[in-house]
Amino acid sequence: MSEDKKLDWITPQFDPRFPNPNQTVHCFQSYVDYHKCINIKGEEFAPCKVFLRTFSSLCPNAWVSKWDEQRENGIFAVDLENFSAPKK
Amino acid sequence: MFRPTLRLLQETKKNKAPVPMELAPLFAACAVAMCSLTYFTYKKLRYDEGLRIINNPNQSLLDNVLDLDSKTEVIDIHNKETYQESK
Repeated sequence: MSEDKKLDWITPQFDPRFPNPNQTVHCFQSYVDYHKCINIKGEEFAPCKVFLRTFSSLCPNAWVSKWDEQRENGIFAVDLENFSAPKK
Repeated sequence: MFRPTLRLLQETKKNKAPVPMELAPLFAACAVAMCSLTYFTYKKLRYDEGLRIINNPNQSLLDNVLDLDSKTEVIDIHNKETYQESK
């Protein structure tokens, strides 16, 4: 198996931010992060793909298509255009 | 006027019930419980980053990837050793 193929199908690793079996928030956060990332850096930016792989693996397809539809209609719950760095 | 004598005062002191020694383990257990309550409550409120009291916490890790090179593949976002150059 080539290295590229491995990267495409890798399972999301354990994330200490979301230690519970319910991964709904992990799924949604990854979806939001991916779209913010490609809005800033473009789709060719490889590091963004970690979020794509995560939400593709964790989220049900119906949710993703519903959120995609909401983004197209401009009624998605999170503002994906304006990125503000988290306060630390 | 009636004035209590010294002897009477001593008697009242003697009649005051002392704390029975057999309750000492109970007091110790209560002290441990109070200490652990204080410690774990403080720890939860101070360090739990996922706590939702006023609004949702910001759990985005976007900052971790934005500064990377555009060809870096990220396998595990928390483990920088898994970051590798894509072909």
